[in-house]
Amino acid sequence: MLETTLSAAAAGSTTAWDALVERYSGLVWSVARAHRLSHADAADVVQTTWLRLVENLDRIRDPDKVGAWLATTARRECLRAIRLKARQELTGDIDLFEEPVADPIDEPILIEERDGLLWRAFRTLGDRCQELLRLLAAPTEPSYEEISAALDMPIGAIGPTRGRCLEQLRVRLAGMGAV
Amino acid sequence: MTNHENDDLMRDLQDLLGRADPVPDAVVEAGKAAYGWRTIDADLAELLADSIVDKQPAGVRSSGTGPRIVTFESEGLTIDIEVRKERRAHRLLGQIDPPGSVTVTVELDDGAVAATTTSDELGRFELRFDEGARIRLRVDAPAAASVVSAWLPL
Repeated sequence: MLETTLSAAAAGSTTAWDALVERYSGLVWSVARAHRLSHADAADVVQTTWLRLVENLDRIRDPDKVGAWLATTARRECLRAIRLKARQELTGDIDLFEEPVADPIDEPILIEERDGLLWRAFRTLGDRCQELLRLLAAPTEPSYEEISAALDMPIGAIGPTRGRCLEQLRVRLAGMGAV
Repeated sequence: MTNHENDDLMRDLQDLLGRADPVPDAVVEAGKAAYGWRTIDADLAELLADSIVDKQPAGVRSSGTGPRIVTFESEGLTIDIEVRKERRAHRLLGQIDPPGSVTVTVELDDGAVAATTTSDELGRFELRFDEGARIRLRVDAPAAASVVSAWLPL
């Protein structure tokens, strides 16, 4: 099914392309947000990733792995975006009033108390845990292969790390008084 | 600790993030529109190296502020550029190989042409243009197929 979608997109079908974008936007967006990019930078990374797929539609050797290909590409573009930003800061070539990169989610959205607690507990986790859980929570439920590509993490490490991170999250939640 | 509890917590987190940080519609729409950039009339010069993300060779000190060196490569053409930022403008110093006089154009992803020039006989060129988030280069030579580079975030 993916093979035909990909080859149809390569052959010129915008419908097939739209289907690919619909299917994988959640994954690519989550990769960018897992790397703690701001809204605007994440949007840029997602768009660069799609442009790269457009360039390479004829060259994807294994259509079943288009998700992993997108995840790898998005990770590379995240690193590029982070380095570009750091460079601009080094050279002083950055608007001081630009939105901060650090906090990707606007807390006011989290109306319910349980949400707020869960979010704050999540934010106390180590970077690696936040990245992994953020991706595992992507709406399209990425495969371990895609997550491995997105985080450059061995597939065999994902399950155990997931367990350890969720355990930590539960301990932090309990520490904050959540039941 | 049971797998069941972990799965419940994972679902809570998925639900939270799904509500708090959905993929913006505009991002999906832009992704669909990216298909308009499909190029079938030119060869692709892939992004082979970018000094700000590639590991430096051993012994070379990685400098955060040195010039950014980028290499694109197609089957028949290599494009090396040095990217410099000058106030609110970008300056590209480049060279194509094999050398020769060709037209080099900077395209922006909103469809605009930011700058265009002709390389000298040694294949060297210089381009200046206002800030753009993402560019690609197009190389047109009289007796060869056109080449477009992969997109380069600046």
